[in-house]
Amino acid sequence: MRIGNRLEGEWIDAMLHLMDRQVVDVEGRMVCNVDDLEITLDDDGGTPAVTRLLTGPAALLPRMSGRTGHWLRRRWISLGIQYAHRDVPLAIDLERIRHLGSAVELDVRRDGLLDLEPDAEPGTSHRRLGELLGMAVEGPGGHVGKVLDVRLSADPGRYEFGHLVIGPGHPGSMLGYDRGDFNGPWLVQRIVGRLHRHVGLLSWDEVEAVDWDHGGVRVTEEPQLLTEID
Amino acid sequence: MRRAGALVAVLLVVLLVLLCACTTRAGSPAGESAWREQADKVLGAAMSSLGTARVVLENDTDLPHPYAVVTLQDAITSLHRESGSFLTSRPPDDRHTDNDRVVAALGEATTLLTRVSTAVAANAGTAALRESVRKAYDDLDDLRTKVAGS
Amino acid sequence: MKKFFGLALGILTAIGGFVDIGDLVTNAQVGARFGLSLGLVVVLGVLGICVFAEMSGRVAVCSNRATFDLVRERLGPRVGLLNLVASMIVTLLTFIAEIGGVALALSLASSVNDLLIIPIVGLLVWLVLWRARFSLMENVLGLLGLALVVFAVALWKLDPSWGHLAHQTFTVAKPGDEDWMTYAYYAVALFGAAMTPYEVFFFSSGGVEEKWTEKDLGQMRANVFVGFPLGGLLSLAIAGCTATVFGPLDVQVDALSQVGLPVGVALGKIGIAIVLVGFVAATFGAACETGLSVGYSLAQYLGWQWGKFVRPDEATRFHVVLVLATMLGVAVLMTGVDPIMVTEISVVGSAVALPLTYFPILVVANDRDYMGEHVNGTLANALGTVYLVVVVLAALAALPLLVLTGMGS
Repeated sequence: MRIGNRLEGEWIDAMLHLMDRQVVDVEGRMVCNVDDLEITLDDDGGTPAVTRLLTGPAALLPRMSGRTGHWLRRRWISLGIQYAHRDVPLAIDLERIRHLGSAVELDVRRDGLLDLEPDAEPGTSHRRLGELLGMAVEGPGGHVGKVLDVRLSADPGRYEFGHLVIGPGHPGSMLGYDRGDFNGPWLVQRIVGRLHRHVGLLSWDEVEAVDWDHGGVRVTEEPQLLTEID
Repeated sequence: MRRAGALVAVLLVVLLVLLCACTTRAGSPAGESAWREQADKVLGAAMSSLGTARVVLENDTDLPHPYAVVTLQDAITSLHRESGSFLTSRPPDDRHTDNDRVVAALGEATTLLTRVSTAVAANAGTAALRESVRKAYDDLDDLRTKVAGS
Repeated sequence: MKKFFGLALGILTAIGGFVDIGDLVTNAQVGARFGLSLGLVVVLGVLGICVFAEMSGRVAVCSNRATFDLVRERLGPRVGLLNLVASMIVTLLTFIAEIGGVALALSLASSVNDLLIIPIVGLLVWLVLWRARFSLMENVLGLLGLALVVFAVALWKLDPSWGHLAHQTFTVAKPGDEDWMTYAYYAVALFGAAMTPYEVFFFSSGGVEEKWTEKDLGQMRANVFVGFPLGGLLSLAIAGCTATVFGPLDVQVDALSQVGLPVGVALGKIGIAIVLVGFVAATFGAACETGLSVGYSLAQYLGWQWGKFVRPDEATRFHVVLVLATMLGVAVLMTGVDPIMVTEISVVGSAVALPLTYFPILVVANDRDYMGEHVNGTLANALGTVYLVVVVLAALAALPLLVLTGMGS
């Protein structure tokens, strides 16, 4: 295994390190892909956290971008209109993850593992990371960019929002050229690096409000450019 | 509902364009250069099939029987495929005689190929056919130079 | 001694496994029409497949993840889906062409109509995909594919004017009666035939299948850097053979029987017998590889268990995909479509789909997170970048050339 366990690091980038990764059971058998992540919001205004891995068509299809996503989701539901929970994804608790590297390794066998995502506990509500990604960010001085990723603090079983990664949202934000010690081929690095030179990091404390229903984030400060951080 | 309408409209337009592209007004003559190109292509295909037959005949004792048979069948099939569109298109008005000659040559090539294929399949003597194939090949080459100018 | 044996076996199977129906047909066609004047394109394609196969093998070793896992991770589900659909179409086309190729080769041996053979071939392919051990399948078919070396022997026996062939190759001498557009079309087709995307899916997934570790990196590199170029030489030998026998007669190659004919001319019945074994092994091997690649890419995109390293009942969905793909392939071929035409379309389709597969590999091979000390060096990156540009150009040119030249006619 190349990568150390990310669970032992200080933070995880939800999109870059968790989304779309292969989930593998305790015996190395493949289970599913991480199709989306469950976010639990606290009604009292506590810090939101990623609480479960979501998978299955009900999780994946809405991520296929605005219109196509809606269309695919509706078709998916109408294909099985008689089923309950057609729109509820399958979920895996974060406690089950024992190692997070190039795959998400669980500490259980896969047989009968996936179950429907439970309802939110009283005083909390559920959203998905896929909804947050791509939301427009408005700062005090106008449009700042889009949400590209969320940097989570890696506490076992509950990954709290630490920072938002905000940028212009050009193609290739999952490539990871904008983060980490990437040693890319010169040409690709120059092009993608240029597209993403305005990617910045903003602490969750600076987020004033998130409009989940209409899609938009209001923040109180400009993000700090990643190129200036190191 | 409005979007479904738009979708249907787009599909119709695409269908219409495809139809226009596919149906080159049946019955109207081909242009001079288009006909020449077609004649060149179809005569080339006939030469190609005869050339293959020539290679088979010159080596038919060295080739396994089924292999030689299938090779010749393939040569006939491919000539058949290539000549189909030429036979059904209408030549330009001043090219009727040339068109007839090309069609006749294609017929001769097909007949000859069939004869070769039958003879090889039946293990009959092929020595005489060898010479006919060579001659037919050369004649096609001449005709091709004459009518198609290449 | 045992290590040496393993090394030799790997290289031999890489040679035997390199050529598939696309290489056979395209090289024979190009040889008959253009001589060896497009030989440098084969060299370019072979070097390209070496660069990317080595990279994807390395990624598979270091991260234990195969190509389509990474495609979705790095491009996201949307672009990844587009990529999946495009690659699956091309790989399925290649799969269909390979099954058809096996049937054509068997019909050459028996003179039974290939339509009667196709269902049996489909059944055999599926049985191998279902039951046979991965390494057994690879080794047996790869070694039998070595029979195609007979093309090199035949070329030597035909004793062409070597100086002329070399001159054609190095001066890129386009024959006077062909136009540049057709010439470019066949260049793209040859490039696509040498660098088919399924080879990268297959190579990276195969690394995971065979549980390669860092110790196997040397073996993997030997296979790629010795085996593939020698396989490429076979491609050139095929072109040389058809150039020598058919070139002077202006014969166009449009049947598999014509591809093997020069060997019969040079070596007689024995030659044909060997070349038929080679045809069957090469196309059957490639049919298995492309069939698996269809299953690999879909299962990897969706996160299903894939691979032959687990029992079939542990990767049920993967095996269902294999069954369906095989049935689809047989059904398409039973319509009587010419497998050679499917091949021609599939090699051009490959050229179109190339950048989609190669770009993510290049990106991940540079990611220290996955690769640790085995990230790309300067040479791999320089070559990778050059090829990325070449591949994009070929992809952009492929479809316009296909339409403008009417499939090169």
